[in-house]
Amino acid sequence: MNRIVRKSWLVLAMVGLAITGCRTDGVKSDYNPNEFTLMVAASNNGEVGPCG
Amino acid sequence: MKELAKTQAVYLVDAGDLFFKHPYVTQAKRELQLETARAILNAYNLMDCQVLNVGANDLGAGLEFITEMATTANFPFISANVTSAGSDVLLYEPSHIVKTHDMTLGFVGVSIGDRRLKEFDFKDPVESAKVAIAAIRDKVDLVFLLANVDDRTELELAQAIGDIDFLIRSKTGSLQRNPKEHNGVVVVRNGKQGKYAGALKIRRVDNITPMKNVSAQQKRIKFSQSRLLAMSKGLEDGKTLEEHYAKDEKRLLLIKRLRDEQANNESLIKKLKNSYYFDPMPLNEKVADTPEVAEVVAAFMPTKKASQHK
Repeated sequence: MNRIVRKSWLVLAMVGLAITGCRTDGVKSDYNPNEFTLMVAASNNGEVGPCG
Repeated sequence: MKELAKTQAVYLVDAGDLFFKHPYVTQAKRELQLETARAILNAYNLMDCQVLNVGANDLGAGLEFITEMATTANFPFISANVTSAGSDVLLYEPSHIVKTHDMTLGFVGVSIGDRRLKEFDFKDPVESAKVAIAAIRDKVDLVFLLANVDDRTELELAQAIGDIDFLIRSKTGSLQRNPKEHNGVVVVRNGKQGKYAGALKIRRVDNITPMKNVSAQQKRIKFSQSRLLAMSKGLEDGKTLEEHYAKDEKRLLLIKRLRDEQANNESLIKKLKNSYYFDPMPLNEKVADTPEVAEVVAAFMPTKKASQHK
């Protein structure tokens, strides 16, 4: 369990980057109107490690 | 997530306590902890984080270090109530505004603080949040309060400030898959230690209708999809489920029920003007690394291992 926890933080990074990679190309014209997703991070507590 | 980002704007925000586990760093492990914090910040820069609420634990290595972090970050640090000790002047901007493709989102941050942080003072979080939110309320479509507080203060904030749309908690180990509401304020708790990536999906068509939690409907949609997918395994090319199970009356009834339920729930969500859904996704080894961020961690990990073996 501890291993998973230690490894897990980076997955967030991966998810975020995947999102960013799509987003930073500019505002997409095909975004659903009136909709967005907030990726919420909290109390990471200094955890870092690889996953996958 | 890439699929999601094709159709929706996605933004990463952090409610605080990102860099350290405690509001102090131990002398023996100071360098390792500082290096860890720097690696995290590098990854957050790559991830295009939008805003960080400075939590009490983030201040654990002192004013000089958190200033280095804030200077290195490509995104703003905010707090409506952190000052340097003996000063009345806020160290950070109290709020930050993010413009989406068709909405304006306001973020305000507060922290409960910690007495062990001698270099900092903390103004009253409720009063500070009230002032900061009043300053942006008319400029934004939705207000998010990033709250690095305890449960009691969370409740006080929600009861005292009705203008908050979503209160996003840090400093809690609690994960609430179905967010609770206090005084019309939706409280989001995503646990700790990066165990989950919390996706808060919001649909907002007007500024009148109350936000409706559609978590139950989304859960049923996922269930229907999952059952239908399971039944599709081994399906011959070009055949529908109905064709495949044409001679199995019970299975046909089940397929119809699942399809109807999915359609009804999707229709209900579409009819609602304003809705939200919280989807905490477990982060584990099933998810592959993105190369750029994996590099940041790979560069950091040997340092960490060496320090641990000393």
